[in-house]
Amino acid sequence: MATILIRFDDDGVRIVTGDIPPDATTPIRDPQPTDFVTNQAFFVAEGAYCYGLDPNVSCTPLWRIVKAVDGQQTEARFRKKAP
Amino acid sequence: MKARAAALVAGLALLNGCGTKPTDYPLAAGQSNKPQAALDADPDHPLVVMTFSGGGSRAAALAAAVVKRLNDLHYTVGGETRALSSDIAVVSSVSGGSVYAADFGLNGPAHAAAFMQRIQDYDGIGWLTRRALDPITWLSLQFENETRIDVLQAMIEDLLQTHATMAAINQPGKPLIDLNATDLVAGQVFTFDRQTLDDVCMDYDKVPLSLGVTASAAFPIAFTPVLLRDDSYLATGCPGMRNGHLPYRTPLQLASGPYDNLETFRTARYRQSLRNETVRVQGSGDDVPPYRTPVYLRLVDGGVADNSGLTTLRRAFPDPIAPASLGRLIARGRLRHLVVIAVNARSEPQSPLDTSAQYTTIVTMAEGISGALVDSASANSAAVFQDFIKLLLDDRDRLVKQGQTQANFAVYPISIDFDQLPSATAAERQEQQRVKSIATSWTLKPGDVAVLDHVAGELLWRHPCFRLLVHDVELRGQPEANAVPDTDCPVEPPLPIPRRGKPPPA
Repeated sequence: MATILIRFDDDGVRIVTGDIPPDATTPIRDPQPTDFVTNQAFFVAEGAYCYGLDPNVSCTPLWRIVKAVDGQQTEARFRKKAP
Repeated sequence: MKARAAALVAGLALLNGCGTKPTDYPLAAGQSNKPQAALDADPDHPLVVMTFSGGGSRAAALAAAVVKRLNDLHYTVGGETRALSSDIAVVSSVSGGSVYAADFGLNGPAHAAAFMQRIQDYDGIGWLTRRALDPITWLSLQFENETRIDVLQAMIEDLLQTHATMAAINQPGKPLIDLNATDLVAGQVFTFDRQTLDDVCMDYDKVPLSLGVTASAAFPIAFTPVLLRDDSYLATGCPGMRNGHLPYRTPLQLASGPYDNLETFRTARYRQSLRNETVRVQGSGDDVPPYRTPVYLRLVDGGVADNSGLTTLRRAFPDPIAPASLGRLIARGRLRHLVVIAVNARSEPQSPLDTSAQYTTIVTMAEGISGALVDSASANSAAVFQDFIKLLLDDRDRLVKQGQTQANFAVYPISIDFDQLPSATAAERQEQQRVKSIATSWTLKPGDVAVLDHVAGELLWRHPCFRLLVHDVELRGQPEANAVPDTDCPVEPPLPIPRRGKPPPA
């Protein structure tokens, strides 16, 4: 078991997951909602995940690969996209 | 009994139909499987998760006996009195344990005592022998393209007295039941759940419940495998609308996938093969096909991959998209007391090989190796699950230290295993041997279920984590054994969880 913390400028934004898109400018296709939110660590199995934020939230990057390691907490950061 | 068992084996050998008709309940064009509802929990109620091991009729009766005990344990919360059995949320089962898991899914925990009576009275050997000697059976095998496994499925329907389909279980508000078989070629656990049947393009609601139980209990050699056709491999692809963009592919898309988590990588690769999909590795232009092409799946007893049922739980708990994801419950602060009861009807039968130097025949060798494989796979699974619980608790501690109090929960891992019976005196050893020697065939001797019933209560009440649970949740029930001296439940919560009772017993 491992934990992941997705940091963002706003708390409580829904985290989504899906297949890794072909490039950094393509959002996650058919994003699947999780019950996890930003700025609150959550439990996962060790391994790699592709996470993004709620598609209604403008952020950068569009998605990130996050690698969780047993017994550790991995952090990843998204930022609000400048208007 | 030995003569009848020998007659059964001879009968099964006679049932040598060479059927090649695969089982198929295809997902029709335009149809889709409803996704499995995610597990929910009330933080005021314990979340009870159970595994029912293999071990034929002995395992089925023991599992029912433990559930019967949970029917008799009550607690009061918010002015409501509840039986602990009403909090059973997930059951993962194998082989004989799947027979009771199916009954539990259909009839709920209140039916446990009736099921035990049914198992005590049932004459499975007699039923199979009659079928083996029935010329109509021979004709079916020769001309209707059937095999011995069809006969077992018919017996299971007779035993469970149902022709229900999978639609009858795993509905919202009901416990999640995972019946586990083994993919004979891949060596992977094949679970009869919505997700996996969707992967092989089957209509979950049309699959007979008895098929899942039969696959889970198809002991190799005695029974032929359950043969499924995977319609993902039709020339036109799956005609139905499967769940399309499941995020299972990530470990396959990354070159680092096999290093990030080899087991997850292999599970994803297996799933890719069931779905007959290609995956593009990041930074590559190639679409990688499945590593194998399972147009037909041969499913045998779940005990071949893991006779405990723990593997399915261990994979589902940390999987963020699995219906039984614990991470989801923890994130929402819905988990306060996680109770894992692993019912294991394992035995170590006395073997004449121990006291004989006679030549080891191929048959003896095959029997010994199959038994040793099942035992070693299960022992490994139990050890890995223990490590999983430790990691889970370490993560919990870290989050709680960060101030995430919603992640604070207690875990009560309770194993029910005949080796935990007292064995200091000759009488105790005799009782232990008596219960271990209870038959796995579906014909029991008079009094066998009563012995298992007694032992279930004894094992439950002796377990230190169960006694801690009784204390923490203020369970009311009649103790059936004394606590084991100088033995504590090894997993305490890191921060004080509000407890309503007195300090735990010394």
